[in-house]
Amino acid sequence: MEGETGTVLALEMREITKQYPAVLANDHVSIQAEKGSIVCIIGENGAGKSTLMSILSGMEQPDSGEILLNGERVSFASGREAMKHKIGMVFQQFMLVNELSVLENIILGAEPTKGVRIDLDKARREIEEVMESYDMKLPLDQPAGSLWIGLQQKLEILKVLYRGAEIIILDEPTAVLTPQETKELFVNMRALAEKGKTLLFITHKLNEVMEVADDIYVMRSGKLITRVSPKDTSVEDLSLKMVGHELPPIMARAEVKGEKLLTLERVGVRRGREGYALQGIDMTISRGEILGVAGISGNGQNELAHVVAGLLKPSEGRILFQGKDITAHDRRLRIKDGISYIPEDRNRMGACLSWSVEDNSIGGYQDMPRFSGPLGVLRRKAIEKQAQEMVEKFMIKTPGTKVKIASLSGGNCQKVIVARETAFDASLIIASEPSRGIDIHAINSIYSHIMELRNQGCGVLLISSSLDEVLTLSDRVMILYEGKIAGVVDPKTTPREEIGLYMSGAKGGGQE
Amino acid sequence: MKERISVLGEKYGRAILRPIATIAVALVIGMLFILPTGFSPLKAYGIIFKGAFGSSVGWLGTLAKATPLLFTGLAAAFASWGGCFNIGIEGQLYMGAMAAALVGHFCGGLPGVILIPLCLIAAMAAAVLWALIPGLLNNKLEINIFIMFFIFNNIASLLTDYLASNPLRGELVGVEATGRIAAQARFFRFSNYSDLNGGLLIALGLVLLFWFVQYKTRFGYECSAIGQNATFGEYIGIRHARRSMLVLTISAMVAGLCGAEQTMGVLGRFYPNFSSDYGFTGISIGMLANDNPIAVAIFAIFFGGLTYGGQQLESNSAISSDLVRVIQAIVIMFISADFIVKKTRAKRRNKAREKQGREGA
Repeated sequence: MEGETGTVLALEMREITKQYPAVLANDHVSIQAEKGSIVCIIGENGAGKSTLMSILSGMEQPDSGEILLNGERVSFASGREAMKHKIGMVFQQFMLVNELSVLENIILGAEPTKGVRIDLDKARREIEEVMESYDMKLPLDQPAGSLWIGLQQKLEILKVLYRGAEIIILDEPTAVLTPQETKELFVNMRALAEKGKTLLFITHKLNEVMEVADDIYVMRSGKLITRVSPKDTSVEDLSLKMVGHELPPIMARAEVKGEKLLTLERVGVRRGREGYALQGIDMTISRGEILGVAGISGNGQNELAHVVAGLLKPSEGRILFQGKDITAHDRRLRIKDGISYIPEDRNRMGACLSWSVEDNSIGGYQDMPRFSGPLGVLRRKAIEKQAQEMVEKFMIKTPGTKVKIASLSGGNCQKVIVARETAFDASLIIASEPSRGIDIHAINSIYSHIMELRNQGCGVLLISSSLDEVLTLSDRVMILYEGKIAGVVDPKTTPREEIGLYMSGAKGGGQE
Repeated sequence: MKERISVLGEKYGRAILRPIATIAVALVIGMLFILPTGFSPLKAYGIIFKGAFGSSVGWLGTLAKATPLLFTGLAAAFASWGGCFNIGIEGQLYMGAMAAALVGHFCGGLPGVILIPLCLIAAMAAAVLWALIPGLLNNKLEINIFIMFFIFNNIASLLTDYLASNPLRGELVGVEATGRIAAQARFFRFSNYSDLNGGLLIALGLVLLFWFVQYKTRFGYECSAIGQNATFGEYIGIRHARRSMLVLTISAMVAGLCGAEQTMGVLGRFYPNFSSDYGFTGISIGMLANDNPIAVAIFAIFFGGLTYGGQQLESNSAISSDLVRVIQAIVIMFISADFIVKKTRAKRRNKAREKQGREGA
């Protein structure tokens, strides 16, 4: 079939509609992709882009609408059938078996056989061919788990290439990458497109879209809003289309001069016999300061948050808070000291999913006299009022404060946690991945709130794997690499690439 | 208003329907065991329920059978509410019963107002000791607590058996039992025709107390946090290990009181292996009741009625009262299955939420 411009349409989805019990996830969505192009689909969480891709990769069936590949109607009942039609999906959360070698991971589920045995030699030849032709080199005999995240992602891409994919779906591929790795991914994506592969790139990072896309589709609440070319648009324009209206700007940063609030002196956390999860951490946070911690996940960020929050005892070093040594204080005392914590894992740590919004709204603060009276009898009225105030202030969408928090969306659940952790006049707030998995509206209001607290004299320890987030909010940026401080930089004057070098250990203390 | 009703519906609807459905299905399956005898199953159930609940004598018998189950049901429910699974109740109640019997016998010179509390305290202390040894071993050395509890249940039953039949054997000829406890240590009885005694009042008092503690106090709130999600519990400032030991201690105290009630209210001395699986029945009652003390009371009385009514059935027909044990076993089987389904579902739901959380990360 010929497209408008005379080139071949590798993929066309027509009028796809998918109704879930509560939401219309896709409402007559149509997209087209030319062969050899990179098509971006952007939208907020819940805009329907993931549903659309699930339909394309055979994991969901549309209620109506059709899919055309090279002009021919197709339909698939499973992911396997979609793979037969050369559609491959690279998942955001890698589906690798860490213990198996790279080679074994690639052929897993599509093993070439000789009789009943797996023909490893043939597999190796074939994979080497694929690697050669796309210029993506990987050490085939190493265990997959030992690879860097960026390489693991390459491995995922090789997996779908090995299976002969012509259409490759990349679901939020850059979420876990450093800036350098992201750059490299984009080079690889372009190379694949030039070899005639069609790439569908799902994201909500707009500057990436501008950099790599040939064609952009914007989705919002299940509908396709527009199709634009990057030449004819800008980040601001895309953001407006994606959100539907202009976002209020994040609250401005005020000049605050504050005394030292938190000091860590040579803090270390041992892991195993010799290793350290965290080593020799010297840092301070002042009142009215946001210290951003950048780094690739798993370089000690979690331990740092837990050590400051009082959930993990440091094996060495001292922690001073407002001039007092609080190293020995457990979590309960740290809460009383005024250290609140928005944890990374909100479903397991930040909230008790089987509890009501109300019960969750005082977690950690249950022994305040406001909430528990004589003999520890809970003051239900006060708790209800507290929850209601939070719901109003943060515009939390919930049918009431007595419903289970599990029935709220991820963003609203996170708002309950942020509301709680900022409601009781904490002096220091640890915010770990505060915006993970929530939509732009919620992110915006949470950012503003964090900034507001900073302006009022709170110290903030912001830990995030999103460099954008760290750069947007922080007054200073500290980079962790393998449990050590690789560097502390000024976010206003330091280029992203330099921070990326610290993150990957190519620069700074990590190299010693 | 409507919203409130739906919220309440969500909260209680399932919690009520589920155990009732479980029992109903167990009763239906129980019919299959009656059919071969040629006796009408409906008639058999009629005899059971009329025997148990149809007269004041029936109620006395039912409540007497329900009393130990009230204690063990509460002990199990509170432990599970606070995140530990006390399957050592059986052993703890033996130790409690023995301690009460010894104090009641050897301190017989004391007046009742002192002796009764002393017996109760001894029973609770012995039970707590019996719970904390496995508890602490698990806590400090990470020895599997289920195996420990099972071993300790066996040791308790064998140890008390040995004590009652050898060094501490009482005056009865041909009966292995400890000496009689002093008369002033005995609980009063409601009637000469039934074992029902003052222990019931203690049990009912505990039902109200636990209901209040679990749902109305900060302590209950914090225990529930550990029980529902230990990571969250730690996060809101509760030390998991320490709190678990406290919860286990309280649960064991109640188990010890169960033993004391049997000694001081029913038996008057320690008879080896007197418990007819009170501990384990209590655990299934706790699960049926979804850890709610009020529901524990309802199910304990229901199970007590089944046991007492079963005895009536046996004397009025050719059906053995073992039928009742079959029905109880089926109920327990369903609860375990339900428990597993709930666990896997919760796991799946958490996974789904995590996935949802990652989207757009």
